[in-house]
Parts: sequence; structure tokens; C-alpha cells
Amino acid sequence: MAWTEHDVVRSELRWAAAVSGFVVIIFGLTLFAALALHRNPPSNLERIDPKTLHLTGEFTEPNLGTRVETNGRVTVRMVATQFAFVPQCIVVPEAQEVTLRMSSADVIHGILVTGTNVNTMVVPGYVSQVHTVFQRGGDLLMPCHEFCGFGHSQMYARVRVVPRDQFRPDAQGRVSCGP
Amino acid sequence: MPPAGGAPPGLDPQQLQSLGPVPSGAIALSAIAVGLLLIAWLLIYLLIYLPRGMIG
Repeated sequence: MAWTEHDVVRSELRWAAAVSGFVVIIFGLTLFAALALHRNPPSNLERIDPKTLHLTGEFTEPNLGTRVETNGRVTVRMVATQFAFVPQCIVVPEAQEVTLRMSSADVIHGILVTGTNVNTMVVPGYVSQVHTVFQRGGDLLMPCHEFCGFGHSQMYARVRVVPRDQFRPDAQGRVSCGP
Repeated sequence: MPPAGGAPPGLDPQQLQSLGPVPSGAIALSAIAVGLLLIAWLLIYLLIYLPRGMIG
């Protein structure tokens, strides 16, 4: 039986209603995650001079790694460079909010931490910042996920998530993977 | 569906008439494809993204 103009319009309106419903559901879930569960894409906008990254300021060598700030917050600072993360291993507490701050000294890199939602670009000239809570203990892999040159596939770091009672900062508030 | 004014010049009205019925299988196929995409999105969202914890 041939469809009439009325049939076609009715069918198209049904499709439009169904697809609009899906879009509303997906946007609703995304808004719920952002507002109620604090899941947001990392959106820090902070400039830094990549030429003096290692000489002055926050990302000089003594400041790198995990540190418990005076206000009790845990901050990890890393530098991404061809083809390594410095430091190569970081220690973070389990079930506690951690701030990852990193910058690049040369080209665009990217990080993700396996099994978590941590995923951001590391762009020279900017500080990438991610707040997260690691929920399970163990060693996690943190590879560079943005092709950065011939050594890209060898560029990775380890994130060691330890129970809070084993997370023992030294007198300067620093915690490292070393013995 | 044939245009209200009849077949355009050069087209056989009977052939045009045969394009009128919309196969219900096409609608079912579209619905399944869209449904599977929505289910895949929901499964990834609920079983992978949400359990991985806060991020910001």
C-alpha cells in the first residue's frame, strides 16, 4: 500500500520525537554527572613559559613528584618531555582527592591513567591540571597517548596507588617511589 | 510517493507508483541501529565511566 503524505509526515515526526528523547536522555545524564557527581572534562587554563620550565617556578626538579601541601591537599607535579615523564613513578593515596599538575618542555604530549577517567593533553606553554580520586590500590600505567616522536611508544610513567595508612610523607611533605 | 501533479516528464508513472510503499523492514533496521547505539552508549557510561570515579 502506498504511503500518503500524511503517513510520511507522521513517521518522520515519530522519528524526530524518538531522537529528541535520546538527546534529552544523554544530555540529562551528562549534566547529572557534571553537577551531582563532579565529573567534568579537565579545563584548566594556565600559561607557563616552556623555555624556563626547568629553571624557575613550580616545575623545577625539587618540586616534582608528590607533595602534601600545607593545607593537606595532595598535589603531583610532573614534566612531560621527549621521551619520558619526570618523575617516572609517582605515589598517590587511595580514596583521597589528588591534583595532578603537569606541563611539557618540548612538544605536545598526552596522558591517561589506565582504569581511571584521568585523560588530558599536555601542551607546551600551558599547565594541565586534573583533580581525581584513585579508588583502587596498585600500580597503574600512565602512557603518553599523543604521538610525540620516535620514542613515543617507550614514554610512560607508573602511578602507585597506596592505602592511606601507607602514604607517609617526609618532613617536607614529599612522597616518592624510591626505597 | 508520486508527486501530486503526476509523474515528471520522462518518468513512467507506473514505475514511480512502485516507489510509493515504504518497506517496513527499513524502519525496523533504522530502529535497531539507533537502539543498539543508544544501548552501547549507556553501557559504556554506566559500567565504565561512572565507576571510574570523579574527574575534573
